[in-house]
Amino acid sequence: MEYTLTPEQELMVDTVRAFLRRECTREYVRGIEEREEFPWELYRKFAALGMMGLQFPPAYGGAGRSWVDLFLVATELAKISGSVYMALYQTPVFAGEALLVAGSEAQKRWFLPRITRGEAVIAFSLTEANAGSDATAIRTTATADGDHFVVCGTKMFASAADVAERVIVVTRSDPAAPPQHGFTVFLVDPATPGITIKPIKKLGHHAVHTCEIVFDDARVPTADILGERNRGWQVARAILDAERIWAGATGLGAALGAFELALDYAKQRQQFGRPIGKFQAIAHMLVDMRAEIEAVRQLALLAACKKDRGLPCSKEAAMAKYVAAETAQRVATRGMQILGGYGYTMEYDMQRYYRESKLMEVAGGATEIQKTIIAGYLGLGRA
Amino acid sequence: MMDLELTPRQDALRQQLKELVTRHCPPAVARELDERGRFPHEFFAQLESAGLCGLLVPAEHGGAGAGLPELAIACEELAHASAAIAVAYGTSALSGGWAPARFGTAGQPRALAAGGRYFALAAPDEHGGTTAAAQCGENRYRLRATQLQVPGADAADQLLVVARSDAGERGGEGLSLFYVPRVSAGVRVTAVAQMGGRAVSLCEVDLDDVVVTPESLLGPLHRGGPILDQLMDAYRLVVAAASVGLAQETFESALAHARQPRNSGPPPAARQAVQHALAALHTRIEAARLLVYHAAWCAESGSDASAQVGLAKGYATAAANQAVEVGMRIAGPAANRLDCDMQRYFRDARPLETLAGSPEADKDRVAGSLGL
Repeated sequence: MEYTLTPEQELMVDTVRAFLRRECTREYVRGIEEREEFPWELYRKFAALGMMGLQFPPAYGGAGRSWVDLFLVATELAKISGSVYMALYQTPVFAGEALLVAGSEAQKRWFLPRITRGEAVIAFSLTEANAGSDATAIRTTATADGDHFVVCGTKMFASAADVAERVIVVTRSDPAAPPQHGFTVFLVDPATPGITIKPIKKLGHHAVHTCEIVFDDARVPTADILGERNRGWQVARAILDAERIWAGATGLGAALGAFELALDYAKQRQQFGRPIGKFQAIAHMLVDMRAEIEAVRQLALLAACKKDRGLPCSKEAAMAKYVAAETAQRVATRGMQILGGYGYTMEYDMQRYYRESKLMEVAGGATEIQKTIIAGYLGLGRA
Repeated sequence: MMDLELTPRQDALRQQLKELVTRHCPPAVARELDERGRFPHEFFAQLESAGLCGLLVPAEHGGAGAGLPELAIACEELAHASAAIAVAYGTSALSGGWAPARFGTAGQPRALAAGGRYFALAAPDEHGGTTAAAQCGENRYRLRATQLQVPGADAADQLLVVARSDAGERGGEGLSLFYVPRVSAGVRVTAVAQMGGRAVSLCEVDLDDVVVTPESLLGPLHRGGPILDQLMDAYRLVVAAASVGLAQETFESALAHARQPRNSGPPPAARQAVQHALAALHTRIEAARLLVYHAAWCAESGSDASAQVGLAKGYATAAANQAVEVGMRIAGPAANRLDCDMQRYFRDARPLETLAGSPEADKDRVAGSLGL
């Protein structure tokens, strides 16, 4: 039982905070959100800071750091902006984990150092119109044809696919196989003829486009398979597990960001001759927010610590993800209440946390799916 | 270095308590103590012979030399038998072991350990209770009080009484703490009938010119306020830990009820609404446990842990109440039967959040730490 950061971790967090204060100001975030512009410049600077391949082994250009380290950095990013977090950490975390788990030596040697240097964005595409929570219902097909596969179908909600160098695409390559079999995962080059990528209008996270991808007989080289043919389910699972751990950090960061705005406002806003934070109704609301945030921090840390020790952590990650998402939503909603009319204006950032936090309860496995996973570990229903 | 796992010693302590509870205070015993409103003297004797009454007494004074994280673990496990017993144990370990080791004279821990195994805490009660008054005389103090609210006073060997020794002061100023043997002349204890936590009686204590010697004073005269603050924080931690244990016991019982087939139909556990309620509860309890351990660790490592403890107590007592709410619903009409443990958990959970201060007062303290 020990809760202190190492001096190295403290320095790392301080470095990230100083970097974000300098390079990722409120105005910067507003700008990329309004222009719906992927933060390329920030992406490269963050890589130059050495923060992109934290958990990659040094052999692939990474820093060989722990998941707790990654968690600490991710929280700082998510505190500032959901878009920035998504833009900067989707690639090293999701694609990085997929490559580490399933990538061939050649793929790892090519992609991981380039991710570390901030040269490659890699998106992930699993969801379809009729396959999301139930990922086994995927209908995008991949049919072998010589040294290529012909991919056909439509994917939904692939974030950053329009700026990505590659998209990790989960396809069904053996339609006759049982539900969790017969999948093949590809590192698809989005410039391949037959692929159309179209951004979808959405509520928040405007700097990172979430896209529909249409595959119309797109020919993908067999060499771009990630993992093994017809055994892609394990790759998808590894990505989804990583996503869930990081969802804990996302929710924690978002809740912290909204909490700090609300706390500052409650100390400054005067009504009836005193700061509104002096009223018990507001003060207790902030205390409740704080308690829930601390609970999320502990749950998410538990998942990261277990991951670092090589222990199973799927249940812990599901718990962290579910509570983090609900907490981010609740904290932002209460934050809106504390800011009153100003919270409802676009001049204040609380509305952004309010809009962004809703996604957390839905993306990466909805809250209901997380509860079903947890119930499975309790021996109830389906695992 | 972040490491949320228990140490081998903490694991062993948990295991030891699990075994003691299973052997000496299983549900049948806890049920009977509850029904009769009887203090678990026999169980405390077992805890004493296992060396656990001196859990927080430093090793050089003959104790186990453990700290607040270990106390939290112990209280959590004891609450599987009864939350009231866990709180009584925790308060006693703090009043009789932790407090003298921290604030007392060199000889006090050992003298007190010899003076009894169960210590009750007579602290001022913000819910309209009274504070004792101490009159300083030559080489002795005279204590007076009416209707002090003291859980478990009727079973205690000693009472740790917080008294106003400087009548000119208010609030946390001018307070002193005294150890008073329960059998002292002038101590009158009246047990009050209560809804929950019945194994430990809620008592009213009158002190009618009780005379104590200077050796019974804990810490400096008139300057007991800061001691009381730390003692109350640790007491809140005990309540939080007991809440986690009760919540876990209730969860396990709810899970068992959920798996019972009903009228030859499928068990409630087959329903998604029940599965999700249990998943949510399990998560909440896990979070509460982590918060309590973290708060205990902060308190032990010497930082001002008042806010962490306040947050943990609020979260954990709420988790216990969520547990009994879910448990009562899943157990169905059976939960209303007095031979069903679920109703006992329900009655035991309710009083927890107002022990050692109301939830509102806890929140006010945390708000203060946020600069509000």
